[in-house]
Amino acid sequence: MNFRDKREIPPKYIYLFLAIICFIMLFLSVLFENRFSPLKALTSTIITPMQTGVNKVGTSLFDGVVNKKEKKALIEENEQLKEKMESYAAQIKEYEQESYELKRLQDLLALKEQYVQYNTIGARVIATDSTNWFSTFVIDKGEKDGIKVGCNVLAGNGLAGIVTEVGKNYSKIRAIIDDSSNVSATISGTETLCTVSGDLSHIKDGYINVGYINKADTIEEGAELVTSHVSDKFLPGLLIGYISEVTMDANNLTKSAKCIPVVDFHNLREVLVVLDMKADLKTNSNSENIYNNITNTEDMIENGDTTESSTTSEESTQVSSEDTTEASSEDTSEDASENAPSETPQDTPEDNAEGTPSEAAGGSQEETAPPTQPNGE
Amino acid sequence: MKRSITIGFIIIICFILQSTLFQYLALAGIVPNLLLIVTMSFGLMRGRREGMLVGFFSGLLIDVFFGQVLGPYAFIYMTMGYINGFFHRIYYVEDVLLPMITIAVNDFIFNVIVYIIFFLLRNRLDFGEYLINIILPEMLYTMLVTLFFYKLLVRINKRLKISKEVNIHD
Repeated sequence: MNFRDKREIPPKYIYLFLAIICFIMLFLSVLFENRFSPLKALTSTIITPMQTGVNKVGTSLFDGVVNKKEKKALIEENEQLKEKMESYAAQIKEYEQESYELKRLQDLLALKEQYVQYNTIGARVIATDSTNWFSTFVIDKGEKDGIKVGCNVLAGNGLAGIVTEVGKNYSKIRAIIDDSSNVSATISGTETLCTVSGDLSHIKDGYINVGYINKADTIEEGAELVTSHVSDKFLPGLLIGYISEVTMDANNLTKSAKCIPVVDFHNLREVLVVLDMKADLKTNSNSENIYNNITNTEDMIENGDTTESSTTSEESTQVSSEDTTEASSEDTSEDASENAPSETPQDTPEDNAEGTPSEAAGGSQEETAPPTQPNGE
Repeated sequence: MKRSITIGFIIIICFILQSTLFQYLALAGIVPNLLLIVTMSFGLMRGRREGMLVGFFSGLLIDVFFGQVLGPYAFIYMTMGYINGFFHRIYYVEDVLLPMITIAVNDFIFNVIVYIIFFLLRNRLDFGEYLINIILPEMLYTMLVTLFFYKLLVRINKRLKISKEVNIHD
């Protein structure tokens, strides 16, 4: 950094020299992705506290301006909201009824694993990408708090992004609206698979692209888009956004749509990082079983035995094993998984400290699931 | 030595401002490119060598923090600083027009290069969209900020020069 001492060397040689350094760095960082973490850690220990501090100033300044402007509007809004609240209270009762029904149906399908409570940690956004081309941001929690690369990040009530880099006291997150982000998704309640990819040129208009939808699938506008179970990075069932416009692709094979994300990426302050990883989840409660259960219950419905879950589950295994005799490897895993919930719901309730009945049942399934894996393979 | 430390501080402060405070002052979601202003200013005021070094370290900072790989931004910024250094010959302190023109051209070229490297190569061909939504707004906003920021940098540069001369006389 000492400019004076280098007076004698002509600048074009220094330029060449530095250019070569740049390209060497480029190649090295492509080849050894993780070797540069010490350098990053060093700079982050200096810069991150400063960013945190300046960000606080920025937030308070911004809030001050906004507060004054919006105070009036908020008072009005408050009254409106109070009115709405009352109408919602009635609705909630209705929903409670429905959710109870949903729970019963889920019990029937043994689908609870999809709704396992995840361990999360709250974090504050301290910096956003300083160029205008990418949507990455930095939060103030890192390795120390148990965050790992690949953790999902939620904000508000939807998926915000994924952790791409972790330092000691910071981690970097790529938002789902980032141009290089691709998320495997599914329409809530259906089996339709699609890919949600961020697109810089459409962020201004408030939506991201949804592509590779099978043309045979019918999709309603306003349908909920959630992360799919086939993704190896994103946990299943996290809300991404709502479908708004479905069009046929030029190739006439797939459809694409627009998705309005539920997360407000412009005012992202606090996020929730899900500490559970999809990779770990897979090994604990093998997701194959979920799918097998669904197919079994479909058979079950065809046979018309939908009244008693304890008896039908065993019947359905017989049916399904008859149906799929050619796939013998699937059979063993199906049998094991089907027998598991009916035999051992009351065996291991004490394993689940949280203790809600739904979790207890889900946990016991997880408990019994691992032995099925060796069978399946 | 004092000079390099001061410049180092300026770079870090600008980087932090750009990634935090200016995100709140963003107009239409666009943040001005402070580091490019610093690179351009030092290139103009001090010549190729310093413009290049300031650019290199500014770009490196962005690479380390936000880049997927190290190097591309360092190289772009360094090249910008180096090219600006050629205009050092026609630079004089009171001139405002020259930095305004250079920053506009700089920012435009910078963003086009970024577009080519990071977007065109991934088959994002819709240049017009990016031009209207990102490149032009950023250019205007950066020019606006340059109006004030450049004066500040000129003043800092003058102060550094004076202290340097005092040192020589001692």
